[in-house]
Amino acid sequence: MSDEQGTQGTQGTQGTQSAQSEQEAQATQGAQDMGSALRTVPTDAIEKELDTSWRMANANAIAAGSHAGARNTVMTLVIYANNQVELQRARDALGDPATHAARAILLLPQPGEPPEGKPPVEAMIATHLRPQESTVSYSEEIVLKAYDGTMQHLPGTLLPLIVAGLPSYLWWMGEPPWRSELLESLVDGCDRLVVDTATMRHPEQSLLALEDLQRRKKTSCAVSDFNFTRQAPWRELIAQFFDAPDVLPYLGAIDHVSIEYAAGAGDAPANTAQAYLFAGWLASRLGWRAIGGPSVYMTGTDYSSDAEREYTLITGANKHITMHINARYGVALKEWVDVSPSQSQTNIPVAQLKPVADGHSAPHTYSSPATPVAPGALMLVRLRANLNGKIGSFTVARESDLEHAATRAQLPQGALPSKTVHLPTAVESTLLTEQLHQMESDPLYEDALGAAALMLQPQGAMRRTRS
Amino acid sequence: MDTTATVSNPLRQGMRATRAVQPCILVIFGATGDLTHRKLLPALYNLAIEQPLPAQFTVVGVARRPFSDDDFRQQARDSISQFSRRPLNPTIWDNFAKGLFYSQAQFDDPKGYEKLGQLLDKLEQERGTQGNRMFYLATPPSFYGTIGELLSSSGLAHKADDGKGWSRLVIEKPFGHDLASAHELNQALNKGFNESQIYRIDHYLGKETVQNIMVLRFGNGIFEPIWNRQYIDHVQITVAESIGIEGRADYYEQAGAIRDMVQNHMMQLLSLTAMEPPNTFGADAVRDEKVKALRAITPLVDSEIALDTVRGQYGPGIVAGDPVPGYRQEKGVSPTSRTETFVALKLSIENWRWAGVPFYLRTGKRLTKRVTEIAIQFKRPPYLLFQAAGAQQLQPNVLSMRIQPNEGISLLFSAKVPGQEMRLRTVNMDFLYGSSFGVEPPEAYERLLLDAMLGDSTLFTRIDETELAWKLVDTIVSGWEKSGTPIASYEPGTWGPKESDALIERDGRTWRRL
Repeated sequence: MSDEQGTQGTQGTQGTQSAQSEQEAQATQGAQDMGSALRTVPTDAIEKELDTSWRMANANAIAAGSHAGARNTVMTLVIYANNQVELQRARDALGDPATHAARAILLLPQPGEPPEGKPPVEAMIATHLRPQESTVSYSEEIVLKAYDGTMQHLPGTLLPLIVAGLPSYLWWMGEPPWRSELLESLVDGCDRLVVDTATMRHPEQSLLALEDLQRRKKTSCAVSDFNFTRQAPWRELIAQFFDAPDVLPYLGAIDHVSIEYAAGAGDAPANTAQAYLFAGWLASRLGWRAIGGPSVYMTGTDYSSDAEREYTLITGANKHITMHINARYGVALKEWVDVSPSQSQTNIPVAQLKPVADGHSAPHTYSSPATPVAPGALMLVRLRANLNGKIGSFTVARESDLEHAATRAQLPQGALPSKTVHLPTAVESTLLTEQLHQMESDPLYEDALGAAALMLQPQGAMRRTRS
Repeated sequence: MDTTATVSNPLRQGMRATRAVQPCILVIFGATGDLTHRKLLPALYNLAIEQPLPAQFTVVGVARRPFSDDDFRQQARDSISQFSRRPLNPTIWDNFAKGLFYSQAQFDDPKGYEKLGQLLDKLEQERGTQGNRMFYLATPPSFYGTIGELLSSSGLAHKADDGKGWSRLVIEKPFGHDLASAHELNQALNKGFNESQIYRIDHYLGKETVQNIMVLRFGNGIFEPIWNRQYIDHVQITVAESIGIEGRADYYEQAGAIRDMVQNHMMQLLSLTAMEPPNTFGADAVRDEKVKALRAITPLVDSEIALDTVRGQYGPGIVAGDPVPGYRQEKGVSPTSRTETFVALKLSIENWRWAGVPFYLRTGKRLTKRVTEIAIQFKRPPYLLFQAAGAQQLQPNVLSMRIQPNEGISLLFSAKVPGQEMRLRTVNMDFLYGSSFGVEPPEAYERLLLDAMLGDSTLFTRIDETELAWKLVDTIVSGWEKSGTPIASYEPGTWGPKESDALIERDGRTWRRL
């Protein structure tokens, strides 16, 4: 598919697009959208053309009996999409009402050099006018395409388009080219970098690189991560155990932590980012520090990122805590980003889950849960505390349907009531909305990232074989 | 002990929900009634989905019907299926339902309280709720005092400092029907609960846009310097409903518009608009300032009541092409009723900030449209530089805060019409919540229930606020009774009687066209 087809491009600035591409573009934007379809414009006339589009869109809306839309931009959202599929996902996410009043700038890299007669950076614009209950929301979309050979010109075209004085966000889809000139200059031009470590090919190196970037850019650009937002229900459930004053003392007496995540399909390594971010969150809140690297228990002959890992952490009171970060195999899986829903519904394997409680109950077999989980998704978090000989155990585990989590707390005086929550399969637009509501830096994430990076520092894992 | 958040849990540090609800039992009196059915159970279910409720959270419904726990759970399931803003999730529901229980009781029979006490003791052991109890009175107001007293005499309500866990009491408006009855009710409630344990719900305060009045005023630097008599000409507060009394004749005949709307919702809007900046966003700091504003309202004397108040009653007419009955023709209403369905008032706040700035209030049923708004009308510029350009005809600047519908803020100002000549036109700068934030705000009851469980009473009405509002209303009602002035009739679908227009036009001003 050519880029022009993929982005519903048009052939000029004078509204000469074909009827077919007009229809396709309107289908992409949704039936409610009364704005204009994407059209190519000169890069030095983007602002002027947006202004013209806004006036025309409003005139059309009024002629169609709708309200006029105020040009009330509340933010700039820059999105780096690596390919057409990601570009489409980005445009889908922009359909969320929370991004309606945004100026969105989508960046799409192209291989090679620009063809003869094409500018080094190509620009297309569209406006969106979406009638709501009794009002109209207005937003702007700019697509910039740069080639390998002209990528260095991209920041010069993009940065002036960021609306001054309003928050600006950079959502980099996939794994960014850490320390690259392009990433650094875009990060310098925005208030917040949004990434998804769940979709990165090298999650552990990426967590380290992200922590490095966050530290270097601390005063100018905040960092946030879809993957940390996804695990918010787990953090809340673990925190809730200790809200009750009579349970709180057990928090300081934790001596063992188990974190399990869904392994990758087949032999593919799983994405461990979520497990490490959760470990980092616990460690940063409770003042724990990792001592050295992990002891890696070989599950086969090869060292892989899915091997069971055991860390020793130390508390402020010099108490040692054992933490296991393990993969769970045989779980029904799906990709974090569901690109082709029809395909993902087929061939769901039967999941063999470990017992959710304290290891006393028999394993269950679950067949074809309705909602499979993504590789790397948290499956279980278990804390064990020894409070002067009184043992407490606190478990949050996915239920057999994989879309709910249940709690179990066992104390010497008995079990606490269990609680079940839904673990929604958050679509990208929802996750994006969460990030867009944050204006300032997120110390919770930064601290968790910092503690996770400490655990992941290359310090030579000790390889062991389980006897 | 009335402790609120678990600030000592280090896992809460940095979380958005830094406050956590402690394990507790919510006891709902009137558990089979409409409020529980439509609002409370759906709100609790949505809170359960959004996670802030701890696993130990327990609900005990109390009512006269001989329900079993399962009957109550079935009723709750129906309520949630019908009225929850989120669809029922069977897995979440199953877990939520395990925390629902029922206890049958006549609200005035001590034996029922004894049985309830046994159930609460048992559940506290089984579910680890640590003696924390919140009693929600979703009953007819006539039972408030009785229930409050019996909760005290039966020992079900813990004293604030007895170390057995906290007890709180939540009640709905109306808090009495005049100052004397409000005082009497409070005395009855105070037998078991001190003021810090009582949460009076005015659901207007749970609305995001009402909370935004404080954010607009105190979260921005540009409004507060001009929020005073030097720059503001007058304030208009409108709470208009397009519907009639909707079958609530029993209640409305006793209340009328002044008790139904002015004493509570409108006084809240007025005090939030007129209050001084509080030192903190703490419950008492905010409410202290609101009370000071209410206290500064000049009491109306009889001669002023005739001049500065208007009461009206809608007659029969046609709305949207359909005939609608007049108030006196509504089912259950006396054909000679003198209950007002419309009130317009002119009030003065005598303090340094507001001296000479009138506050015009109007509220009514069967008006042109449903709209709630506070409009701040600023003074004209001191010198009309653009007289030749028609500046005298222009509207002065108006900042309007719309509470519902189309929640938002708009500012009217003058702009030059493009062209060679100097011509001016009034234009509108609009901010709409829906188009800027695009997120669904929580229901008012979700916020208020959660706040009450957290022990945060900022958005609840304190007794002195209630009593001051009643004092003002009592003066007006007694003035009306003494003067015996006729109630003005108005056509349904209009903005009320012509006397309402006269009230404001006498001062050279007009009601805003909304």
